[in-house]
Amino acid sequence: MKIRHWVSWFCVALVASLALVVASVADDPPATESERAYEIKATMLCPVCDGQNVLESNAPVAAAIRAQVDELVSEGRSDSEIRAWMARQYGKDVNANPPGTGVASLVWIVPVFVAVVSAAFLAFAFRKWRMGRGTEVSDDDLKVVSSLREPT
Amino acid sequence: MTGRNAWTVRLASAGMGLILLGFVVMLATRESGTGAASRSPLIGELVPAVVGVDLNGATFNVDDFSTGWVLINFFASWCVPCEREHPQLAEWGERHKNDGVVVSIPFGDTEQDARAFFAEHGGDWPVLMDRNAAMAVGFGVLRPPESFLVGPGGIVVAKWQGQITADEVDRVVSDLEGKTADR
Repeated sequence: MKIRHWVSWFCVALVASLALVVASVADDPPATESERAYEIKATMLCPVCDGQNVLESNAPVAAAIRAQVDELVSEGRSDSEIRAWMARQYGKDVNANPPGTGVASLVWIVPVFVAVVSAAFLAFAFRKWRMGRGTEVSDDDLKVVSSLREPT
Repeated sequence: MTGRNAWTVRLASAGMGLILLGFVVMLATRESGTGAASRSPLIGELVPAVVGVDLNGATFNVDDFSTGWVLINFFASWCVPCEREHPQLAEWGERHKNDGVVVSIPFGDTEQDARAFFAEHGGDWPVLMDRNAAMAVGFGVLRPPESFLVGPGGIVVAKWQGQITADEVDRVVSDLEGKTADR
């Protein structure tokens, strides 16, 4: 019984890990220049709009950034070069994806940390509840329950 | 609730409180996202490329004016402050016809509308169409009008966001000329 229980948990963990791996591997790099430009523009914020990326915005600055991204991609500039250039011209907030270093990296780290802590907490709570089920019922407990069930 | 459980709850609450406090401190002390609007990383740097053929077919290159002042103005025909500042640009150009030049670059505008704007409001200085927005992005332009003053030597010395006056620009010119004379 106990082995079957652990096997089911192992299967859940295996499926979850496989799903994560497949999801990250399936995120293929862009096949064409226009796909690459599209991905960059989709993750670049319009500097004069509220939370709109440059693909969605009609602001002239968004049109200018779109045109420049197309130009720089066709020149063969790398994604990081283009992002660094735009961040220099319009501030680092122009990039919608936060960087992986510095304080902003907490955006990536905190969710993973919270997920791990939550999983550990749930495992601990389930274990405690299961152990609680095996407690012997004392005579005093039975007396309390029967007194509560007696009609008044 | 037992004493041990109460302490666990208190510790967890204190931990959550500290994390929230950390976020509040981080948000309160971080650099403002609008900083790029008022400052320019270009000040003190060599002017980015401003090269092209103007609306009259003449070639313009900012590097050809490295001994004088260049006032680079990003404008749009639909922009009211641009319309209001236009006579001031003409005034500044007139004052500096021997040691400076104005160059206008339409931003978020069509060549047809830029031509109509100059036909209506006058101005005989170069107007360069910004193909692929290389110049606008090179100067980090957010919204018109924006102006940049390039000093002798090709160094960007000032940036204005919004409507400017000829006197405003000349205050910077006089200030820098005074500093140069003091040396």
